[in-house]
Amino acid sequence: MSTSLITLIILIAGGTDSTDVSIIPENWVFGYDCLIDASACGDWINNHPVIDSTSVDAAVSVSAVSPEVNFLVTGAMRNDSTSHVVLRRARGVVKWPGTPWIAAGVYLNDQQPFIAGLSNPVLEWGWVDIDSTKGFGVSSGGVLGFSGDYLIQLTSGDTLSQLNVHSPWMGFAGVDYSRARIHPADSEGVDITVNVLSVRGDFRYFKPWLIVAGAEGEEGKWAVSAELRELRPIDTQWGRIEIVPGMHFAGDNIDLPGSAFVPGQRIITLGAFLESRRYFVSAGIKGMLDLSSDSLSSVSASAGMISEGGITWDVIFGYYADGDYRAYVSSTVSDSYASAGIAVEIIDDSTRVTGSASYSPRDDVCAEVSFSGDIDDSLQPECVLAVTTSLGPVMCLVGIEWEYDSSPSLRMNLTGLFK
Amino acid sequence: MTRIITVALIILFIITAGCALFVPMQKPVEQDNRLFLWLPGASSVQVLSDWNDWGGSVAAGGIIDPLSGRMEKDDTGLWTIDIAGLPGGVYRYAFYVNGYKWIKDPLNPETALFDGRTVSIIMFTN
Repeated sequence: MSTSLITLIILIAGGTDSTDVSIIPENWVFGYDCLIDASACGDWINNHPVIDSTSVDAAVSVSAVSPEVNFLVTGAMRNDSTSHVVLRRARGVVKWPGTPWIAAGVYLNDQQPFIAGLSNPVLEWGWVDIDSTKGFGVSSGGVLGFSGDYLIQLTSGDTLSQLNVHSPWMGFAGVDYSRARIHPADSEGVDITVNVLSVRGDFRYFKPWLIVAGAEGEEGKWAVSAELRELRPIDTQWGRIEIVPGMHFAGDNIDLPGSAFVPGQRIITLGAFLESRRYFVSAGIKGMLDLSSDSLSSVSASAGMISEGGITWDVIFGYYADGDYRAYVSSTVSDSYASAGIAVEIIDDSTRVTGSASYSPRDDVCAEVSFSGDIDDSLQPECVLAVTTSLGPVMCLVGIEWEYDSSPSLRMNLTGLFK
Repeated sequence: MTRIITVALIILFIITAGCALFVPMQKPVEQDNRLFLWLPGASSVQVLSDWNDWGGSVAAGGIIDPLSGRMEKDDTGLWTIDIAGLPGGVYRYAFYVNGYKWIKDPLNPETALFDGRTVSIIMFTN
């Protein structure tokens, strides 16, 4: 690991203990941690383990936070062919407190665009490679509770800009606006702009949620999702039933980097969900009607429960308009030392059964074995044996996986976070 | 007579077992802002979610922080975590058991997808 990083850690660790004259202001909080992840994979060949790949990843992070400053540096080393220490992640933010407050910061591999939807996100994690972003951002807030930030970054040669504005909760509603644009470095790249307005309301007897998304360019690049939440015709001390009507419409040319919208979709939904306040039991049923075509029309239901006998039940059923269906039933009985479970999953003509068992000789050690196979002519069983330990911030896994018609594979992993 | 007693005992056992199998366990406290998972034998359980960058797996480096979203186990074996105070919004989450196994919340009927996995959804208005 880099000598400079270790020296910095030692300096900071010594600095916090100073009782006399110190260069460290009183209202600063310093932190440092070391995250280590080591793994080895291989096969079991001719009654001997054969390791074919190993990896070690170590990252040291140093942070300093005060009311005015937020500073983070993470240096990392991976045992690849170069074994160089790299500056994996860095952030330096300076804030001028007050009303309004203003902040400015520089970021390296630290700010990833993400915009949530009503179920699946409008802008999914990983839209850009987080390991290739660097940029500058400003933020402000404090005026009537509003806050906003603007970030411009360079990512793999392209320019990514993000604007977020958040309203305060105004007693009956809250509004968020997000805009993300990626401008390609060359003329052959695709210029993508995503605008998302999210409105959450609270009208006492129900809570409407509305998400309007749009992309700039040709016509048909729009999408709307809306749901009425917490419409509760039955609400007692035992539990409540919530009815959730919703709709998801999208233009024919929408192409967002998330799974919230499909081009041309015209879907209305109706769900009913039961949740108990006193007991570990819940259930739900949801219908989806695709007005544009029947391809997404479906009915799904699920239920879950923890019984007095220590059994966790999980039941899922889904039927789609094209005739496909899926059913899943899982039951696991657990106590302090051992557990055993069985799960049956039926997808169309395929039925897969999984049996599992675990034993815990002590709180921080667990040995598990699971066996699964298709109930048809081929069976094609799979077997997984894993022993895991968790000693505070250190976790260790030793596992063997075996699939039909292949040799067993080994996996060993050690992850620790030291502060 | 012996046969009658045997049959009665079997019926009593089935009824008792049935009660234990299908009567739901009572929650320790009535709290809306907690997540629960019944897994007494697990060595560790974490909640990975949109609110904590999926434990760091979507951040630079992509290593799941073993302390991120760590749940606490009570004396009965119930893993819990308090999620009060999150900003309003929609969040996907899943339980990460023993440092390698992803499972959705069996007590939450609403699901979505993350990285090809079925995960659970929770919403906070404000």
